[in-house]
Amino acid sequence: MTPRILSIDDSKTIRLVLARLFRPFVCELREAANGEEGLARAMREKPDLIILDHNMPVMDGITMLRKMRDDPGLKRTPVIMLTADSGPESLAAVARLGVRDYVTKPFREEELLAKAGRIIPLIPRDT
Amino acid sequence: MTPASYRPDLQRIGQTVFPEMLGVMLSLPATLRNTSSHLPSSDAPDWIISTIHLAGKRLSGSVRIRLPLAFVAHAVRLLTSMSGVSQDTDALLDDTAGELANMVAGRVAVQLAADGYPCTLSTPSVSRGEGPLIETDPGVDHGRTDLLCDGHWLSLDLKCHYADP
Repeated sequence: MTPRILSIDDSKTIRLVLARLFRPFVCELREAANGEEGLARAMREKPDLIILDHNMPVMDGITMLRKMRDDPGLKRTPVIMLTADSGPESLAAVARLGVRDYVTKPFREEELLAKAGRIIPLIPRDT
Repeated sequence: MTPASYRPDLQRIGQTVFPEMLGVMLSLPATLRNTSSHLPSSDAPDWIISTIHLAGKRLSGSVRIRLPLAFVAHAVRLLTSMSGVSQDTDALLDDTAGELANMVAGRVAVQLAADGYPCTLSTPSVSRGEGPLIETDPGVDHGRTDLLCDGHWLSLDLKCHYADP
């Protein structure tokens, strides 16, 4: 089964970085530009991993996480927060909402891949 | 408990976090330059200016970075491996400049929190032009960092107004 990753970030640049990062691996990467769009997509597609930004317009990452935790179909979906806002209050808030892990921006790509690889199998594509 | 009279060293914070962001995200080394309001005349490019506002109980302020358009186009190519990035790809250039500022602001906020001044970040606002960086205002602490990175002049301005007397 091909793992499905949902990348939710209002920055197209970050979404493109993640697309490049995961391209060498067998996985399906989908995108959303804010929490509202991401929540709808997650409900529809049931991803195996969500990589979620914190500070976004329309619906931020914390609000989306709260809504996910209220949804029986999504409450166990693993989430990695990818956030520039790494102050103690923000990190405590995401920890309370049961995120699996977090990566602070600016981030080392190998760190994000390592943390994703602990949640889903990252198998290199045949070249 | 941090004494109310203590003020974070914005110059030191800028000189730490700006090169750190460039090194981690773009793998580009940067050299600190003496702050000068006048760049060499041969280096007067179009600029992208990205601003993030900081808000906390004990401070308000801003983080502003000024990057040459050509540098941002290079950053997009490095980050995305897209080969067709030109200076005309406006939306993506603005987005990248805003995201780089967001990352710097996030690191600034961590340093400010460690100094007893926690704050939250706004989303980035991005503009173009040769506009001046932040003017020095009375009662406002200001720190400026100029870097030379991959042949480009980059600037960071930090401004904080503290609620404490």
